[in-house]
Amino acid sequence: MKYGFVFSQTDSSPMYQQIMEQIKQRIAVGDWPANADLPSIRELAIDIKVSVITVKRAYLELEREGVIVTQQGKGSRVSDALNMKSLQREEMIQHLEQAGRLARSLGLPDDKVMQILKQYLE
Amino acid sequence: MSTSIVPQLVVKDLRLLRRVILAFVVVTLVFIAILAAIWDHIPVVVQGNFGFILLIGPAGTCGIVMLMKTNVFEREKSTQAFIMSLPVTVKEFTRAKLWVNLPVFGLFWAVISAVGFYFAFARGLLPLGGVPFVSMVFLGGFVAYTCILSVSLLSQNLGVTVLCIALFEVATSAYLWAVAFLQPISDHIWGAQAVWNPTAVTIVAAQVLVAVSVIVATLLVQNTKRDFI
Amino acid sequence: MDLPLAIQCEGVSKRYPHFHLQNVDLSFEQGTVMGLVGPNGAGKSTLMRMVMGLIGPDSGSIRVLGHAMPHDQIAAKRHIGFVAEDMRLYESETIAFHMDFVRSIFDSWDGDYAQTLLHRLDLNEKQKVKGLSHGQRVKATLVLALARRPGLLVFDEPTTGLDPAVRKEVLDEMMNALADETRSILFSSHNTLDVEQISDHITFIYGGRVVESSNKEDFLDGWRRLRLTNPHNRPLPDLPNIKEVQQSGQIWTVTVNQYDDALPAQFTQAGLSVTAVERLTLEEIFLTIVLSAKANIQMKVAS
Repeated sequence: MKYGFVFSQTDSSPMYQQIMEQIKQRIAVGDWPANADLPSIRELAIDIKVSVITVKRAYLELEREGVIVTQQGKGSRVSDALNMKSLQREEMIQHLEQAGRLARSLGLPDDKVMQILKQYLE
Repeated sequence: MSTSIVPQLVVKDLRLLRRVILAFVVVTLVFIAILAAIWDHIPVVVQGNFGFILLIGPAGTCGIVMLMKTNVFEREKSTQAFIMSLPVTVKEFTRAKLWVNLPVFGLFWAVISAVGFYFAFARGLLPLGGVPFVSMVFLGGFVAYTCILSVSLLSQNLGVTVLCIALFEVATSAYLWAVAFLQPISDHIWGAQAVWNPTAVTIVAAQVLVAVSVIVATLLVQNTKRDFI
Repeated sequence: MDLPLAIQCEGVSKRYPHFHLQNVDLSFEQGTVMGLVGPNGAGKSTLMRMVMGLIGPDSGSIRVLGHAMPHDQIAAKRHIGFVAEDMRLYESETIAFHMDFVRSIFDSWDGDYAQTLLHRLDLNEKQKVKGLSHGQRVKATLVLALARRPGLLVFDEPTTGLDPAVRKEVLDEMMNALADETRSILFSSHNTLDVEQISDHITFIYGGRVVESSNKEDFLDGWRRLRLTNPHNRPLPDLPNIKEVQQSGQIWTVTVNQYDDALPAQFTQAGLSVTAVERLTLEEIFLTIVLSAKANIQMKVAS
């Protein structure tokens, strides 16, 4: 357990997303600085005992989001053009988007939704 | 690259059987010593019976225990999947089992046959006329053994093998009785000279032929098996 | 890459008096893990035994690491490590006896690795098999299979009947074995968590047939549960990929496979509103497949 990833079985999000979260966290707190090499997909898979294909998917998604850069034959490294703040902001917007859609389907009036949101801002 | 692992399988079974073989060697030697010690002190009428029990008993039991442990229990105790997951075919598996059982039992049988002949003819139980018949008795035992060995390999089933043991025990006795009453044989059993007339030669040859063909047939049938677990 | 596939089964069938394995296609490349899932009696063990050459198929072809089975089984089995839940070792002998035996057969036996494994798995090689617990027995067979460093591991229900700690040890060693990039694993389990965790590919078998076989991410992605409200009691759109429907008043729950992002719109157009789209665990997919297969059989019987 070199990389110390800890997963939660009660977390309902899929495993590849949990891996993405853990990598983002390490980047956010600075444990994995810009340009640092990531472990190879196979190496990380064996370390965290999760299938290669799942780790591969996490890396692909992270690359798509611009969090990491993968070069053929050279492996992956943390992107140096990465703005962690904007990354987290994007994630928050995604959550709000989902919340908005759910509120709409439940037929909650807008001011009620705002009221609930305010509760969490305090 | 793909060299046969039959030798390794044989060594493995011999190691598995080491305690059994050792125990029966000791028992056989002790029984031979007992027989030698009491032979001249027991009535002639029971000499034959005593000899038969003390010699054939342990050797036969040893043969049965060996084939049970190596052939029947391999399946009954589910070690067969382990063995068959190794680079081996059914054919080689069968060859290995024959290479374990036949030489060890064959050696046992040869020794007790020799000892049997010694007591029967050198210690005055029978005249030399009985040589062909006593040969048939020991050879008959060996034929029965090859049949049981074959069944144990083909069926690998405890019940079937036990039934077969009982069957061949009765059948062999019946067969020897029948042979003993065949005129060309019975005429000479109590004679002073061993007479190898055509009947005696045919019977002995037939016994050898049966033993060999049972072994060959077992190998052939095993080769055709597609499912072996 | 001109590496042969780890396993390639095409149209494999085998008929027994009460069971029929039908037309099984299954393949995966080297360096990956294939998980076989299905209820008891679905045909997982039969298929694995055919892969090992222990059972010959009635029809179809099986190639293992490029070798035709069962014909070239000697060459193939030199490179396969097999562990099965119901496989036993010699009770009267020690683990060391078995290690000696396997070492005498395989030049590839790695004594140091064997010792490392014994140590990591808390096994004492001088102990007799008779005295081992079920977990220790499985771990001993694991050592025998791994220490010869085979290219392919075939594990039939390796984690069945193990406590969580031993189960983790076994799965960990299976993953560790993958450090060699061409090593492959075929394993079966009823424990869907195990399969979900370490498989790259999943094949689902039910009633002797392959229901679905694909890479794990696609497999799990393809299944979704839609939570719907249906205030006007409209009929569901007629879609072939609806696998299960549950209804309670206006609340409907629909489970689908082969999901794509355009699917919720089809429900909206039919006058239902989609309140949530959820992913399923392998366990939930397992139950849905089995229940819908049973329902199909009952429908056939009824009609």
